[in-house]
Amino acid sequence: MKFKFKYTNKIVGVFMLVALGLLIGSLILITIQQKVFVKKYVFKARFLDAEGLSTSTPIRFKGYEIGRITQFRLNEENTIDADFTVVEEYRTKIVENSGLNKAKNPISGTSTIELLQGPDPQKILPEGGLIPSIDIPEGRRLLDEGLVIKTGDVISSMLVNTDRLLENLNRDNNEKSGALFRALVNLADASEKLDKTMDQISVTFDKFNKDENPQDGAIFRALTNMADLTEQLQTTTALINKSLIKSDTLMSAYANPNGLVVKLADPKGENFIKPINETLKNLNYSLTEMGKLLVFLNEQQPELSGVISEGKQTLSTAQKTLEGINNNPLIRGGIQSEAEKEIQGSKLRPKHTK
Amino acid sequence: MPARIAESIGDNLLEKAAGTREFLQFFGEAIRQMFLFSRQSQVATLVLMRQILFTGFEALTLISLIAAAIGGIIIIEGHLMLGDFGSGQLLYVILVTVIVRELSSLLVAFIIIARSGTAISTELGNMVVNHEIEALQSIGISPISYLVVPRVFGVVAAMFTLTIYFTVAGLLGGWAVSYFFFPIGLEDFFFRLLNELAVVDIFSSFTKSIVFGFAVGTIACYQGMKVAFATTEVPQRTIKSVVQSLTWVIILDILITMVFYVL
Repeated sequence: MKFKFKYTNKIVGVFMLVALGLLIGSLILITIQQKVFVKKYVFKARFLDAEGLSTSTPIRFKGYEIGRITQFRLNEENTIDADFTVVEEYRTKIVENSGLNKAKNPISGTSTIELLQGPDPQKILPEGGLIPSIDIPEGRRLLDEGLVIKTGDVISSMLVNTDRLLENLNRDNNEKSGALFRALVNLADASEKLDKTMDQISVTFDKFNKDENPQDGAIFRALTNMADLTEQLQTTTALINKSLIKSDTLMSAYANPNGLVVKLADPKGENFIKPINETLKNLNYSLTEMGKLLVFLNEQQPELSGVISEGKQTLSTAQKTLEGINNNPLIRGGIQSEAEKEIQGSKLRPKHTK
Repeated sequence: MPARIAESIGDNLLEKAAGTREFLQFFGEAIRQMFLFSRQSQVATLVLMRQILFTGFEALTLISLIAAAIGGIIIIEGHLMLGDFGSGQLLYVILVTVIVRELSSLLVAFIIIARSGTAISTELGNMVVNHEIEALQSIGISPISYLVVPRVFGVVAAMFTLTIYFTVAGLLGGWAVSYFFFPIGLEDFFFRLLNELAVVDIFSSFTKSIVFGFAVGTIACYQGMKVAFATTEVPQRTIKSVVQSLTWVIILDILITMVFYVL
């Protein structure tokens, strides 16, 4: 405490000088930051309403503050006339056919005004010129003609777009009710019908489930039978599958006879396989030839038929001739019958006796 | 019965009127002596310096801590509310509105009322009880010029200075806490803050601090000097000093805010 009393003046001096230094420094920084002493150009603006407007509302371009609203008033046309200043540095940003987009933040309630620059950056608007907001007809014309492109913060843009969508939905040929409401009515009707249909389906399913069998409904029995059938079908298909696999293996074995027995008995295939192959080939060749012969015979069938028919007639004539000769009393019994020849080797094997 | 009620109300009104007249006389004399302060500065400067030391410098730590904590709380609450909506820039507006425009001068005034207002009332009350005031008068020294004016000036200067420190500490506290949520450099933070800070905000804050300091100092001195004979009056006058100071600070805050709003 003694120290404090001894150096009271110095402590208080430093205490106050530091504070004054901070204050003066802050004021200088604010002055520089907010370009208080920089020359400003005044322009006029027109808005549909003054909601969210204040005398210090900033005018932004590409998100950067280029000026501020200085005053605003209600005019005779029930729109808002406002004056705003733009610092010298950004004076060239204010060009003809520019618009202002006043977007209100629904959370904070504050408004931001975005400058929508006109298409030609060379045509600088003279000081005092009017820039309309895009919510009044003059501004809308700029939008419709594509002279300015609207931007804004996400929430505001979303709300504006939703508003416009609802407006368009409600604007149709039916004067009494808008498309949105008619769509809602139709949706309500459809949902009621759907509700009824669902009731009916529910009743139908109840009926399916009620039959003579009190324990199980028809659907359950049908499903059970179906399950049994499919199970059996599965078993059968498994067996068929196994048989097919075996057949496949067998066929492969036949196609490529490299079995163990064959390999052991005839490893080179000279004793069995090759002769069998040769025999089969010959047989195949003979069958082919036989086939050709049969085809040839088939082709020659009419001629053969004729020959056979003629042969039959000849034989008939010969039979009749022989019958005549036989019946001739002059030569009856004139030809001696031959003795039966014994078959060679018939005595080699003894006959079985009972 | 109605006559007695009317009489009671009349007495109260007369008493209030007499008290107001007495205060206005005191206030007028204090104002007059303030203009003469430079003449007695050799005598009163030490009192003034000690008052600034006691009211301002010694309260600096407390004020800074409170300011930093409040700045941090504002950022936390603001971030919870606004961060999810992508309205982070509003945090700077809230900091400027709450700390610079309103809380800095108001909270500093409350702390000075609690610390220095009570001390001044008690000190002057005890001086009256100990006949020190009469002693000063007997040697031709005006107690108002020697005791009241340097104290009022001291409170005003301390409050003005502490408001600056409070503002700086509050904004720094806000930056320090906000650094945890979205790391941002000090330079960038103050760059954004300065965009939202207007000269009128600072002017409003310091106008309030000067007016509050004047009110608190004058009321504390008046209540202290109003002690008549007994030491038991001292705490009573101290309490009155606190209550009246708080009331007037709030009323003046509303009035000044309204004036700046209209402007």
